Amino acid sequence: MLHVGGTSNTDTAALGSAVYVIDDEEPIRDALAALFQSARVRVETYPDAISFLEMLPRLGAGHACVLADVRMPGMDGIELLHELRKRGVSLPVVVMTGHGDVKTAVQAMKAGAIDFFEKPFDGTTILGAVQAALSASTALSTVEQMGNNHILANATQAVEQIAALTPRERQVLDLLAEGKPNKAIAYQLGLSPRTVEACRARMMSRLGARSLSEAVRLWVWSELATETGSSGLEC
Amino acid sequence: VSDADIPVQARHVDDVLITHELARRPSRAPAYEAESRALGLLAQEMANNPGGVLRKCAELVMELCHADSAGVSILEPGDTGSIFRWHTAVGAFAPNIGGTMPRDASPCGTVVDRNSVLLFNKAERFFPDLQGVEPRIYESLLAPWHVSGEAVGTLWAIKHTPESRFDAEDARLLQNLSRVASAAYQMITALTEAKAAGAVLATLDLAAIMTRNFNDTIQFWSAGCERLYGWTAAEAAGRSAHDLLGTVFPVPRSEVEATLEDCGVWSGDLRQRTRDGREVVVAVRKVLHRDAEGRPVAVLESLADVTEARRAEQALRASEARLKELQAELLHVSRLSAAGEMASALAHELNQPLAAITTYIRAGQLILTSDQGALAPERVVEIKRVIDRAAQQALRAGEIVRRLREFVAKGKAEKRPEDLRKLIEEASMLAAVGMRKNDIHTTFRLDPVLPPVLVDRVQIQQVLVNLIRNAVEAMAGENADDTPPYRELVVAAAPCDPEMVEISVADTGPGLAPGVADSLFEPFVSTKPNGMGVGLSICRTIVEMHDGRLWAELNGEAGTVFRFTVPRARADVSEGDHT
Repeated sequence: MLHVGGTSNTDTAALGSAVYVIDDEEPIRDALAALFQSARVRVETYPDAISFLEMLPRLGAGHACVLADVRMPGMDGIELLHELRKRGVSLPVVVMTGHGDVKTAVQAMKAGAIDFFEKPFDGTTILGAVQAALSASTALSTVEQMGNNHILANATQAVEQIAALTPRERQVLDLLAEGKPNKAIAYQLGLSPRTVEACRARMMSRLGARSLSEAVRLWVWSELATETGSSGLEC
Repeated sequence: VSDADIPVQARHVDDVLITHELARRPSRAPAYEAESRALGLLAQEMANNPGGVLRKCAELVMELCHADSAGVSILEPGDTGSIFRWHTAVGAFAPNIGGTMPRDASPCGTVVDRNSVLLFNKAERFFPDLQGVEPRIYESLLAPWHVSGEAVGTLWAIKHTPESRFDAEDARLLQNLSRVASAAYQMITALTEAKAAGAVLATLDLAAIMTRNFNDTIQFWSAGCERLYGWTAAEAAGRSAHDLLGTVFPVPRSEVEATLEDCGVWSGDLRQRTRDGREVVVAVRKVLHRDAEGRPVAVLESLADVTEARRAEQALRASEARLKELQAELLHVSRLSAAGEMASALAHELNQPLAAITTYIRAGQLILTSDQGALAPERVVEIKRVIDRAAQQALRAGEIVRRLREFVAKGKAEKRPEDLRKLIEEASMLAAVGMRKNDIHTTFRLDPVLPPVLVDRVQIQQVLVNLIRNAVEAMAGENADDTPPYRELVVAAAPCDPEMVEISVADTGPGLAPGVADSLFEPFVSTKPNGMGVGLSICRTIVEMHDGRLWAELNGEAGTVFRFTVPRARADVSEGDHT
């Protein structure tokens, strides 16, 4: 069993680090490849999780991360996360989800993904996240530590931010994170959809979140921190 | 009986006929007084008890002719040729009433053939069927019995003792009684037949029948016509049928007359007016009557009030047409609903090119900003490539949007004031299409004063169809453990506040699992492997588009009740306001 975090004599150092993009959509693979290449990040693309897992033992060692689509034919992103964990591979995994697919995002985070992005994403954001993950990992001895630290660092901040919300804003965020649309939340809370929209806007600005996915990411980190404490991630 | 004087069988009928002896026998004086009294009694019987005339006649014969038995035999058709039946018999022979003999093997046959009074002596010697008949017949005197001048039977008198004799006076009396009695009988029969015919005519009179002459003047007007039109026969007689009834023909009247002239009959539906001004639809069959020279003289019309039947037929046709229309609309809405789901699917699909586009553009920006000064030629090529790819993806996104727009092209809500009761009834009818409602009691609890609602009828019906079908499916559990003891579907509607009307669909199914209740109205959440393809999320969207709410509650201890509200139509919003 090859551990990607082990020592290596390959020339990855020249490129710094590598990102493995797994997506069944050719335009997405191609666009992400163009993006990472222009940012001088080494990139390899795979059309599905299985072909990535096949290549995994031959991949060069070094700092790397995986950027995987969640909804894929065959093995999906969540299954891939479980498979990697089963094999003892602790590569940091960032997942890409469909728009509004908050439930899947939460599921992926709980399965060990360090971050998630909703499609359509801004290339700059995803590049920033991947680069941050890669550079952070260089300061750590193991990818596992890196993953945990990444989460813990974020989680501490998230818990604080979410604690600053009013109870109503917190309720709205909880329901949004469950994947509920505004209107469903309005019914559940006995409010008008307009009130929920206003409450949601206040909650977002209080969190400093520019999109729902940013707000939900904070919520997930906060939840993970609450569930796991500082003992690390459990599936 | 072992009389030695019974001779061997006679070879000829004349061997048993002794009519000629009457002339030689001493005869008593004509008993005119007795005869006249007898005819009087017969007339009295005719008046008082016509059915007893034949019996009375036989009794008089027995008395006047000093006979031991008397009676009437009538010719009638039998299985193997004509037979004589002992129709009436009095005296010793009475027990033989109803017995028959073949016409040609009976003394009666001889009497009818010869059409005169005959006297037989021990006729059994020639007519074997009489052998063994009790009491034994010695002399028998028979007179022909005429109906309409034709001999169709006999009036007879019998002596059952060897020494007794008939005389010429007996023969005269018998003949006279026979003439009078048969005439009386003929009259009685005719009267009975006339009465029966009268009854038939009376029955016919119950039907609506009229006759008119060729000038359209009413001649005959049955009791049925009186009931149908309200005009009495006296009022109708002599009037013009056309004017009296304000008849409107389905085709030009001239055409009706021409058909009647050519074919002799015409039938069709007429619109007419009754005496009290009510409009009726009357199915008529006109038959033309011609005189012996073939000139048309009268028209007989048989009429039947089909107003209700036609109305029912029309209503049935209208409701069938309505159902077809509704089904077409349902199909359209199904498409719409499918479009709703497709919209979600396409939105996801749309994210792929959008994600690719932003990524290509960011890649291009990165290349431009990272290379200070002049760009290396291969970088320029790369920039050109990513821009080209981004453009391709933008076109792909546009294609997806175009597909969706085409799919929902007809998806605009049109709100109008609608009759909620009718809307619910139609929706229930639609929901029932192709549904197996095993043992489900369906109850409607509609407020008697439901105000009109301002809705897109098709969309709200779609919501109802979905909720009803869901309810029925929820109660269709086949697992014995899951089967509720009582399956009831209740559709109710009532105003809930000054603005809104609440409609509910309740079932007695297993109810909602706690986890499902929360996500019930989300798209892509279903507890059914294959539903209508229209989710509750779309129902809720539709209701919300109507400024209403849709929610689910527990239905008492078991089952679910879905409730939704729709706005009342304001009085100042009329149907004509829409374009």
